Amino acid sequence: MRRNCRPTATSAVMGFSIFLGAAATSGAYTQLTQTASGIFSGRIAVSDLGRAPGEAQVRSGYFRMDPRFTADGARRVIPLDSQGKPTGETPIVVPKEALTDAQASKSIGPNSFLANEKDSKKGLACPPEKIDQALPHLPQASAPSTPSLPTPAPIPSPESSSPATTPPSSPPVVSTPPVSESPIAGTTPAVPSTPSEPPRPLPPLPPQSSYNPPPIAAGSLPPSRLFPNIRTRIEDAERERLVSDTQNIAREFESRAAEDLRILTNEFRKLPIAEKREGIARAAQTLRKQQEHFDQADRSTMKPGERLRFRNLLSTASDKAQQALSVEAFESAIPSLAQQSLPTPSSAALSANSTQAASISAPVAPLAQTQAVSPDALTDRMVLLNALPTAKRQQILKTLKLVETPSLKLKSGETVQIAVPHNGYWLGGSKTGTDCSGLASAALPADVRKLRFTTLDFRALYQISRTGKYTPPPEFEAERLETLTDLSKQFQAIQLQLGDPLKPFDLLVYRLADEPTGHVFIVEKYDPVQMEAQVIEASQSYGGIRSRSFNLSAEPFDAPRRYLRPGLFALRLSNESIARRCILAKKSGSPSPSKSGKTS
Amino acid sequence: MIRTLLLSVFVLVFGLCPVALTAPRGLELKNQFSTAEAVLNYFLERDADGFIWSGLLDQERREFTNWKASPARDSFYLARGFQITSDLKSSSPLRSVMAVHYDIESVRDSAGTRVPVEKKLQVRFVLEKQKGQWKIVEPDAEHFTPVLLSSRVKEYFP
Repeated sequence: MRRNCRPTATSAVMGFSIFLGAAATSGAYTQLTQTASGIFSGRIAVSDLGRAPGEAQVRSGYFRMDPRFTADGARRVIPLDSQGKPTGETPIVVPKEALTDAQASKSIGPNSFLANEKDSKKGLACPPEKIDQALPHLPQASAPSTPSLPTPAPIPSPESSSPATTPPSSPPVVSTPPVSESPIAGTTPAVPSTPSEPPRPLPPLPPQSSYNPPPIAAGSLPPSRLFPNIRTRIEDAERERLVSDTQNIAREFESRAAEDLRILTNEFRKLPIAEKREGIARAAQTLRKQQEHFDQADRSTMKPGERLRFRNLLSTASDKAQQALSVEAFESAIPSLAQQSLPTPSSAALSANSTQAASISAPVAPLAQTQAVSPDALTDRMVLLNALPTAKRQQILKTLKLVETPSLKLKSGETVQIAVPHNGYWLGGSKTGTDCSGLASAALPADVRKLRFTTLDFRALYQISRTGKYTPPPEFEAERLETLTDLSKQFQAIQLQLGDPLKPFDLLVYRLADEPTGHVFIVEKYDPVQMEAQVIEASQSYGGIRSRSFNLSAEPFDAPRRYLRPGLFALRLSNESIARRCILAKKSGSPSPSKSGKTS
Repeated sequence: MIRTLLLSVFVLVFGLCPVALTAPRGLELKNQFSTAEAVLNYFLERDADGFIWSGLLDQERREFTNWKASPARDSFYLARGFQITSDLKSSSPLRSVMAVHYDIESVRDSAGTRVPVEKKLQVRFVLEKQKGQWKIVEPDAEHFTPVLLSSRVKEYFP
């Protein structure tokens, strides 16, 4: 059952979730005592990846071992947030006796909990028995944590009943399981405390609280052997920049939607009042008829979900037009008419976003939806377009940017063409819209964007990256498979089932080979404790590009085991690809190759 | 004996009120319903036509729910029908608790993929009176799964 995880520079910093019984088994099981200042008491179990999944009521979350030693050889564990940055909480002191051999070694790196592969393979480097022997005087109770300390979200343990569900006041008291059967540190029981035993005083710590490398200008890559942490940070910054570029694609769609609405409202306002009323009545009828066309369309014309989506939007638009006739002012039913201008993503906002992404320390803020791409604004556009006189409508259609004219084949054999405004999403992609895989293809760097990828392509890339070969189904054409094989070198397969944490700009893909649908998200940020990713997606049900949270597991947060959703996998642009991007940017003299405003 | 007693308690606490759906429900831009039942009826009828799955207006969402965003689901349930029961015991003048019992036949996605699922699904709805309007407060948007009625969307998902 036990699986070891490869200790890497990045994974050592970030916490590590436990999935499907795969556990971060190797590493230090550390028992801490209450410090002189009374900050911490009880036990804490720290995995090799810096995670303390057990004894959630004491402290759990993300930690990093300080590279420096105290005067008596103890080391400090610095609490980190889900982004791997110090939370500013008081570090936890690990006494010398509780350190593993590797951790006690002077050669250990600033972000490594394990010194070498040997420790990783040993599994539990410092078993509880050793700690108990080394620290016999410690209070053995899982005393309640100090109220001032934050208690991070509990972490589900696959090997035991969830410690997350255990109330702080009643810790579980069970026998210590054998290491081989229960490698999760969190499963180790808490032992009742002996209040009479005094806490062990610790010597004062050095003034510095964490390891903070100096800021490095983007575009230069120092040798990784000398500065592994700096290189990682530069690569992370580059990934943040790619996320920012993706957000700009979404903002471009918002700009187009806002511009379309502005054109339509201006044209409608120019109409005399009598024509306005007549136009709205005409729009109500036309939209109802269009809705019926979608109802009667042959099933081969469009995917059923896409047809239903537009049927509903047209139905709502028709209802709106009908209500606009029965009220005194159109504005109450068509709010867009009441507004002078809609908020659009200004160039200042776009540049501010780029600046933010360029800063190594500041992650890009999640994409926020604006009013321009709301379903309300879309249905207003539908009403206003159909309220215009026929000649004017034909003229305006040439200037609108987010309108498609699909041909619907009706069951009667008749074919009708309908002008349908949209918010940027069009299943299968189109001249003016995109879908999820189209957005992901457009967001990739130019040297990787060799194809308009589908989710099946991403699945093949994952397979080849991971195993080195492709196994059908589906059967690709030889040329396409060759391109995919070539491109797979620029991707790294992320082993979600082993708990690899996601990074910004990772492609999170859902695809089963035998199902006709799939989906791809672009990761903005990730919380490995909750398995929650903030993602950008071109969403069909939403009808546009948006940012939202997506949990990698469908299980409830307090479930004993949280399984990964089936068919889910992730791809990451390789470090080499990112490095090439940085070098290209340096040569061209720009901070980053920007794709702002590009669409698929 | 115990079974009979439990059944009696159930009948006393829950008043069964089956809902018959006929024509698709039109849009209401303003929440002018006076009872929680009417609000829930409107919401369920819109859901049955697929408006909650895709095409829910922000204005509608604000009027009838206290959700901060629309539900984001790429799949939905397809049901043969549903019934609403009132939980009178948990309700108060400003809070109404109702359960909707669905007769689920499958899970569908936008591509039409059908996963047969035969089950009874119960969803607990909590409505609160806020500034004179009954609004759905539970389930929240994140935990809400749209349920479409097969009779309403048979042209799309046969």
